[in-house]
Amino acid sequence: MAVVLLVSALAAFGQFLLHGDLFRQAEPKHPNVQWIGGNEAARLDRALWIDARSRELYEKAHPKDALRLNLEEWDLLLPVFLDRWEPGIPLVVYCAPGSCDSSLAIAERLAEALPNEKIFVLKGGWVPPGAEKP
Amino acid sequence: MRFHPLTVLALGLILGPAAPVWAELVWKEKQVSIQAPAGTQETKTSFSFVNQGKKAVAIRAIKSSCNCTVPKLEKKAYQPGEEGRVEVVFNHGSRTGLQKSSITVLTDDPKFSDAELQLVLEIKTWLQMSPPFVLWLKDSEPEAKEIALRLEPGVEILSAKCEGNVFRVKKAAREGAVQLQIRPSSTSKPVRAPVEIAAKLPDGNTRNFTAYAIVK
Repeated sequence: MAVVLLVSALAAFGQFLLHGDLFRQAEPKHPNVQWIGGNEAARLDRALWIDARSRELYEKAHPKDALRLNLEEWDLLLPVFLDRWEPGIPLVVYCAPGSCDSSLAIAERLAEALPNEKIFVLKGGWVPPGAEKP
Repeated sequence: MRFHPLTVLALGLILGPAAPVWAELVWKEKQVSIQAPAGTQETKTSFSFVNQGKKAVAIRAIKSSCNCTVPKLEKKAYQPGEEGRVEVVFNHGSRTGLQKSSITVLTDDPKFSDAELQLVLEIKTWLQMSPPFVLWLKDSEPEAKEIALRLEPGVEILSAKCEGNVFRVKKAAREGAVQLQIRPSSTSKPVRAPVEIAAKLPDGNTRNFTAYAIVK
C-alpha cells in the first residue's frame, strides 16, 4: 500500500508539472487589486459590479446594475464607466467562469488610474442564477 | 520484478492522462507563441492534430479562457489517421504586451477527454498610455498629473490637447519617454474631458488616441 501511495503522490506531482497552469490563479500586480469570493463580494456595501465578459453574455444575464467594461470595447465603454464611477465605492470586476484573465486585466488597468480605490476580482467568475457551475 | 496489482492500477489511472503520446488525438504543438506587430487588430493561428487511435474521435466542445479568443473547427468527427486543426482568431481589442489564452478541447475519447492548448501573444502597440485616465477629486488641489506615453520606434507625438479651458495639457519629453502633464483649471465642479493625442506613425499616417481627464 505504501508503494501505491508513493506512486500516486509522484503521479500527482507529475500532473502538476504538466498542467500547472490549471491550478494557478494569477496574482494581481497592483497592491489595490485583490481576489474576492462570491459570498464576500455579495456582502460589500454599495459595490459597483463591472462585467468584463462579452456583450452577448451580458445581454443574456448580469447582476443588477452591473456595468460593462471589457478590453474589446475599452474605448467605447470607458467614458460610461467614468460617468458612473464614484470615489470610495468598491469595484468588483467579474468574468465568465474559466475566463478570468480578462477581469484581472481590467482591474489592473483601472488600478493604474485609481490607486486609492478598492478593486476586487471575483474568484471563479459570475454564474447566472440557476445556471450550472462548470 | 513483480508489481502489486494495485500499483499497476494506480499507474494506469493516474499516469495515463499525463502521457499525451498514448492519446488518440495527438497534437503537433500545444503551445503557439506569436509576436503581433503594432497596428494589427487580430491574430490568426491554428493547432493541428491527428487521430492516431483505432477509433473515430468526436470533439464535443472547445472552450476559451478569454472572450478575446474565438476557436473554430471544420468538423467534429475524425477517423483513425485523419488530420484536423483548430483555427483560432485572437481579437486584440485594447490589449497590449504579453497575453496568454488557453483553449480547452473536449472530446469523447474515454482516456484523454480534453487537451489544453495555449496561445502566447506579444502584442505591440503604437502608443500605450499609463494610466489611461487621470482623476482629481472634487475640491482637491488642482495639481498637475502625468500620463506616460510609451511609443513604438518611429512614432512621433504631433499634438495633445483638451478642448475648452477646463484642463491644460503640456507635452514633456524626459529620459527618452513622452509624458503628458495635465492640470485642471479648477476642481470645483465634476467634469470629464477627452485628451486627444495625435501621433504620426512610421508609415507617415496620423492616428488619434484618446485619454481622459476627470474631476469627480
